[in-house]
Amino acid sequence: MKKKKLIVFAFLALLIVLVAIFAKWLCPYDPYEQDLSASYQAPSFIHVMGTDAYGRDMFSRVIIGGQVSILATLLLVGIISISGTCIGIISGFFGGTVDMIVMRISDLCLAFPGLVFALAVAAILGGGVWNAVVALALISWPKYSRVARGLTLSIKDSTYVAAARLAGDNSFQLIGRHILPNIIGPILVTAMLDIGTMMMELAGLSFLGLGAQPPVAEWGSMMSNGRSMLQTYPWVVLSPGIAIFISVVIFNLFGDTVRDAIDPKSNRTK
Amino acid sequence: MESIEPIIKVENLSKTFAGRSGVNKEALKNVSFEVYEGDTLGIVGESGSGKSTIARLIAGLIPPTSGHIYIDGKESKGIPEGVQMVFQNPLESFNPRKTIGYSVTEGLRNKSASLEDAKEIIMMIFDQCGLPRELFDKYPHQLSGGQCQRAAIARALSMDPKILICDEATSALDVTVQKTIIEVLDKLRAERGLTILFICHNLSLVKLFCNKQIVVVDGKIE
Repeated sequence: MKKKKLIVFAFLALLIVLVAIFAKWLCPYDPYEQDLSASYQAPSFIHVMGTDAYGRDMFSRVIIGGQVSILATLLLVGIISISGTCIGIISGFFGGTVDMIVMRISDLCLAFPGLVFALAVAAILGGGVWNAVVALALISWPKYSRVARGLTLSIKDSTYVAAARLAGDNSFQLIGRHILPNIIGPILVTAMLDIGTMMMELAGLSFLGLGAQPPVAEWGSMMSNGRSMLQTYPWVVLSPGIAIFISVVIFNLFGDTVRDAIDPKSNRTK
Repeated sequence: MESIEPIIKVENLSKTFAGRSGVNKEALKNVSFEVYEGDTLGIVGESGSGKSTIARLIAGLIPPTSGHIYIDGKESKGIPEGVQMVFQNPLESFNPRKTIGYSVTEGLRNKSASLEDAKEIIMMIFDQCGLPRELFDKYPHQLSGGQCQRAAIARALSMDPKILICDEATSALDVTVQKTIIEVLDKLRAERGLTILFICHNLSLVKLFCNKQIVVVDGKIE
């Protein structure tokens, strides 16, 4: 049952990523082509999700918007999980002054309300998806460094690490051969579960005007642009909103099933 | 048959561990002893008396607070060459994500031996330790406690040590498995002329296996 769930959610997550990668070829209309005579058309067989103020096909914009939202989110999660893990391992393994400095910096990042800090960073860097990614990366790495540090501390004094030291492993060999393979599971699960959160935060920054800039289609900014039309032309807001909702749910459920699959305790009860 | 120069010389060795609440724990207090080549020294004592601290200090896994350790006449700093250790819990002494083969050949590969050469050497040691060759590709959890401990002995021997420290190497095993491990160690001692530090809390086992004994009580040798 667990395996079935994992396969289903892995397939759905992969489908979303593939749609994002091949968005250009999947759009039925040009997502940036304006046709003012067709503005605010309700969903129909011609325009499945209706059209926006400029007569652009919402379905095409949602697909192409996914390219920016999903790929930027995956890049963001990749950056923060790799950098956070490396920092955490170095901090936990070498300890001392390095550990103290790194952990105080991470405390500082964690002390700020995340989105407010990202807003400040994005405001300094200016608008744009990649600046929003940088802003969120700057505040989101401490979560991974904390997890990696804690796991490293618990493993570095283990007997098999001591045995490896006696076998002549240097610090980097110990990290690469013995510590990293044993902490990668929990880090991977954290990253999977973080995809949904980061997608929401990235969309939030775009919604506030600090992410993707017009005319670039991105789910958060599409919702922001259409928010005044919520009561009159709801599909302009609901289409990207539903896309965010479905993607976040699928990635969160995928993360949950990966966690269940990796968790050794749940495997032992079989 | 004692050589003039001891293979291990421990001089006024002390170790203090920093406690979390600021209270330091003095695990060893000015311990001194000598071990000669070919000896099997039994170190006996209660739990928490400092036996394992002596083992870890000699193996170079932890630094001493004060005092000196000389291995083969040279002062030991860090991990000394020619000293290997077999730990109490055999399963925990192997990385659960790596095969037994990977773990036991690690030392040889670090000495730039190819995997094939390392495997060949390990297979001979497996035979010496009475381990089936097919265990090379198994994971630690697929082995029994006794097999795992013999694999740990094989890993230690792969580095061709002069000194083998067995830190309660038989304590986590049942009596029949204990017997086979002692037999393996006895055979290897005779074949390789190993000097063994045998840490144990079972006095009768120490008397049976070791030619010399020291008793550690509250961080001091009695």
